Amino acid sequence: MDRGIPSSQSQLETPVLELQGVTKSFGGILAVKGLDIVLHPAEMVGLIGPNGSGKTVTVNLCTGVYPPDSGLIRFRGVPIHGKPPWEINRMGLSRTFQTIRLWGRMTVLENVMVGYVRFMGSSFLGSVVRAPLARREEAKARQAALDTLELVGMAAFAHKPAEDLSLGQQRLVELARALVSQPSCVLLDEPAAGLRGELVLQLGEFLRWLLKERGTSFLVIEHRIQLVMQFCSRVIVLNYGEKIAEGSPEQIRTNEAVIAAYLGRRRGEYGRSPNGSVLARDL
Amino acid sequence: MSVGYAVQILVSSLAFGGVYTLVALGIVFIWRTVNVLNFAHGHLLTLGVYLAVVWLLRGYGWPIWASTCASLAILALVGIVFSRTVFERLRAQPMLSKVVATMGLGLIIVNAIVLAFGPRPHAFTGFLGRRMLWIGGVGILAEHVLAFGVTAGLLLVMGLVLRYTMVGKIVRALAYSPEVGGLMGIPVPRYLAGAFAFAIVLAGIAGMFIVPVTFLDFTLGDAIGYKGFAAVVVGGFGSIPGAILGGYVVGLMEGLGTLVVGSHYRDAVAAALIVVVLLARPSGLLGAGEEERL
Amino acid sequence: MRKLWPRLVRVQSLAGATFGLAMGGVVLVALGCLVPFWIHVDYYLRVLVYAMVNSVIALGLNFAVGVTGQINLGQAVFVGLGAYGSAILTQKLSAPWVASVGTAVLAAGIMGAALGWISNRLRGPYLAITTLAMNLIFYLVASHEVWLTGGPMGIRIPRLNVPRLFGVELDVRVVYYVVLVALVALFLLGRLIYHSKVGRAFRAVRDDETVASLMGVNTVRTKMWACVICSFYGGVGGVLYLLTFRFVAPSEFTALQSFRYLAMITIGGLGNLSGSILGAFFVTTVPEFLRVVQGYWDVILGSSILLILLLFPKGLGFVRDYLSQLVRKKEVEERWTGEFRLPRAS
Repeated sequence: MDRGIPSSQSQLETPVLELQGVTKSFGGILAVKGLDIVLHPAEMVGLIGPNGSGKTVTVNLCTGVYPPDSGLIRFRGVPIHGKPPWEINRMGLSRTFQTIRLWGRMTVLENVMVGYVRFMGSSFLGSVVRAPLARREEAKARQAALDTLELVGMAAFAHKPAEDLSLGQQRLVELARALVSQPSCVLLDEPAAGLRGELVLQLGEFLRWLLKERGTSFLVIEHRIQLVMQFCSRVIVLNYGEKIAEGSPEQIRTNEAVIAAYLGRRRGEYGRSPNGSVLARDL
Repeated sequence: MSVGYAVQILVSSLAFGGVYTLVALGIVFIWRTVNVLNFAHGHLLTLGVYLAVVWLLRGYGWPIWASTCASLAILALVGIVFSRTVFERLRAQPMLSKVVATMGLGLIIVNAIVLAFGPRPHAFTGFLGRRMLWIGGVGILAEHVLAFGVTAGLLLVMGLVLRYTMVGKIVRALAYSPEVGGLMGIPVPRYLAGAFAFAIVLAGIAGMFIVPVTFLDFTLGDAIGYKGFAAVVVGGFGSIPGAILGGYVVGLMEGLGTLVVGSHYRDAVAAALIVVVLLARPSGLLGAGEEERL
Repeated sequence: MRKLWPRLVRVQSLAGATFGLAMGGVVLVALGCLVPFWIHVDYYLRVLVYAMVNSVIALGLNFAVGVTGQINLGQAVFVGLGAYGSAILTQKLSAPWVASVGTAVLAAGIMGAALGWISNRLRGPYLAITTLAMNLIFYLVASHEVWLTGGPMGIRIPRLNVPRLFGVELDVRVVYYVVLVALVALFLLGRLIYHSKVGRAFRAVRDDETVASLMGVNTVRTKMWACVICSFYGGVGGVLYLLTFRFVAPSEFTALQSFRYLAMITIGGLGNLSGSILGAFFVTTVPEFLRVVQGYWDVILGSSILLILLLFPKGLGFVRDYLSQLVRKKEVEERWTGEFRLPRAS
């Protein structure tokens, strides 16, 4: 990468996910403006910012919900902007949702099994008449789903309709659905919302375990700053769709622009903050 | 084709267009407030005309104006009752359940009409009969002028009410979000029932102008329903200006289309228009695309 | 016998049924086989056959509407293509029966693919109105193009030309078994689809299409398949209809008829396969019991649909769910402590 983005990782390694100058507007309102993000293999990066700062839009852009107006998005070196969502998912980029979106009338197991679809290549006819290949795939999908559910502690609920679970439980099932296909990168949109306190820490430990065991990268949007500060090696801060700071949790904690953004100062005032050089062009 | 003939077709198309506009407006109104496609709309229209013409006018010899007003009142009542008993309970159900409910209502109405008034078609010459207006040597049916005038007047009044009165503001707010309206202390069910009843009354008025041209029989509702939906689709779903434009477009296309493909396929013009418009420009002429929310 | 039993159990478990329910189905089918020996009036038998034909059609419609969530108000078009297609090919072109049936079902399938294409461009209300318009156009063409369709009088297939099955004259008793076999086969096929990878994709699209596409489901292809299945069942239903009545006319393929199919699956419960059959039997056979009040039947049908929607939003199929709950073993529910369980070894 010739852009020399500061990173603790080796510069030679292909980033898992790379956004270059990504811009998106809705009806004339800029949601994301000239955003650069790099995510390396086996890295957990926090994406924080006040409400409406464009965090979820960023995740939507990466996963192909809508295409960016301009800019490049690469996944493991391959451009993915403009591809349909399922193709992006099948390349190994998965996600969860801010408001839980399970398929309510399907069982928990079925929900997670659908997440495994990228490894199921059998044809329509094959899967309907239960051809040997389809049957093997089905067995593998079932096993993978049960294993993943076991990891998040939800295996006992495998045969319940998803809509019968509590919100915290649904959050975990969604996590399992995103993880079942062992993606190389997962975008987590507020994974800890609705979880009890001690479970939040366990979630952090779990993600760190996945990162070490499988080399999975995570981009975590989270309002519980504690989770981000404790487990992420790097934090990116968005405000009004622009990156206003990036660095280690310690750097972010003391960054004046970030503090200003969170205290809700007006847009024009950033320029006056001593550390606000990044923001000067916003004026 | 002489100029006179062309003008006649134009005027009758505009008159029809106005009538379709009223039907389409009702459908849009119901879609925006109650959030359901009302497949009983045409049948409710038919019911209104039967009540006014066959029951009160022919049966009891009421004057046409009185019987029309009475039938509109009955239609409004039907709308309120149906909205409060059925739609109110189906609010949380998937759209298909509501669609099937309106189709069920249509089925009941059509067969109730046959049971009460028989399957025989009726003729009705309208409010003004066959009277002609002569403008510059071109003859125009006075009835058509009346239809055009009433439609335009209704549209104007409706626009003013929606924009400037409290009731109009509440209805517009509910069109955006009934839930929020409920939280703001608006008696939502009452207003939704009112909107539904109003939409049906619009259809009832439209019916009184359409019947002099077509025959009155129990299948009328199917054809009119299609045309209302065609107008809605052409204008862009859920858009009120779109419905007005769409109504006139459908009326004109039908007038012209009948000349081209023959009167056999008169009803197919609207259906074909639906398919063509939706495939070419799914958001209609004036509609805006919807953004996916996540 | 000892070896066969576990195999049978495995086959039924593949189709996702509990053992008790599968046995219930076997008993029902066995009873169905005996019915022609009890009913001696051809007319009543024909009503039952008609109910089974409608079951096939409703099953297909349920795949598009109930399972995949793609509204379709024009199922009668597919049925019409199946029935008219085979009638025209055998009568007007004297094509062999098998070829005509195949072509007719294929035509319905192609039309279904077209619907699938449309359903990838249009959503909800737009799709509903388009399918309705398709139905109107079909009806108008069928009634006006007399040279092809025989117009409002339709096409009658004289007795002589009725196909023979293994040399047996196809009277209503034979047709009964043909249709019964078709229904059972198509129902089992439906269950296989429902519980396969494809069926899961269908239901994922129904419950949340955007999320399905984000989780790797090719939603475009999925909706296409759902519509093709819907039209395939419709086309086969049309052929069976022709076989039963040896007569087609436009009045059987109106928007009203499409609505009746919708009513069947709504009464039976959206997305509930066995419910579709229940609903089809309800809508088809109940009018026969109510012949005294014939004129009122459609009013009663309309009212009962409204009542069922209001009282049992999930349709009459809830009876089956209730039965399956009785049959299913009580799961011992683990107390949820809510914890991640990382393998200790690492």
